[in-house]
Amino acid sequence: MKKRKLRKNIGKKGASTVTIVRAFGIAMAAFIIVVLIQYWRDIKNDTFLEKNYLARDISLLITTAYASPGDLTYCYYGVGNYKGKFDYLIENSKVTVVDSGLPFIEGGAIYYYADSKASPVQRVEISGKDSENLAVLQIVKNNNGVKVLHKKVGEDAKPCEP
Amino acid sequence: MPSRVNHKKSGIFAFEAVMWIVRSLILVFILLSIMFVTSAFFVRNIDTKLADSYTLMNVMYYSDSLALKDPGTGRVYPGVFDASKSGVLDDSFSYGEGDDAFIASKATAALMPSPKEYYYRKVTFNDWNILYIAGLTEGRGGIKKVSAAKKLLVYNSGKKTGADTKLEVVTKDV
Repeated sequence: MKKRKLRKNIGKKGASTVTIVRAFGIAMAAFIIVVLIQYWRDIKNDTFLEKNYLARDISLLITTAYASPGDLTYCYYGVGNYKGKFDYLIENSKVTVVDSGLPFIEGGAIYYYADSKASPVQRVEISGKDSENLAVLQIVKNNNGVKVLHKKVGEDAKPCEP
Repeated sequence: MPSRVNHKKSGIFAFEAVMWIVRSLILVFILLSIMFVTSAFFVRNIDTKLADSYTLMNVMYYSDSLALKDPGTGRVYPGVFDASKSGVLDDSFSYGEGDDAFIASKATAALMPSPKEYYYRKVTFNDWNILYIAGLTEGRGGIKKVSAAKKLLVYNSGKKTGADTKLEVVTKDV
């Protein structure tokens, strides 16, 4: 009743204003819903915890291998669960893990490992096809220092075989 | 009873515009609150400071950074400190350099007549140790400290002597 009275009083031009205002309200609500849906999607697809976990795990393993007084070969199968999902870069006392296909600075997880200054770990980049077929990381320590090797599915990884 | 002025197009529009600014602010506040509350439940980070500290201790105890290394065979004698080595371990290994520094350590071997000290990032260790003693241990920038004592052999001028050693590692939450 009130509405009708108001419409009657405000006339044609006023009514169009009310419509615009209501449309703005609907648009605002739609915007909020879209933002919330996008936020939920971002959370659902967020892989930072996995990347962080892998970067820290690999870093700690390299540090442990470096701390080892004798020869050591350690096989890390953790990476095999994320075939083609992440790319890895190991260099300058840092392990960087990023979503596959992204450059190594964008949204990646970085962690540090202890590295000898006399014989540092050689640079290792695992991306593209290497990442898709990655089965195991081999961390080898001997008199020459620590080396990280990546083995593909089906590739000879003898020290890693049970 | 609504006034005449309010029923005019400009009046309604002005009133609604002000109301929508208020509504928008409330909606944005609710939206941010939802994001803030939900984000508190998501785990994105892992605290490995304790693991880092013990691993660095093992680096100092067992790797060739402090332990005696046979020059002929290259064999490392874990747990035997080489007293002839420099007290600065920064030249031996790196562990998060420059702006990425998050860890520092000190090893003290109780040798006679004076104890020998080995540092990995001496200045950083001393700075952070003061903060730790002052109680700055929680939150971002908080310092964590792990200490361990062991009786080790110290190789000094061709002689091996037993000595109490203390290892302290400080880490900063960055």
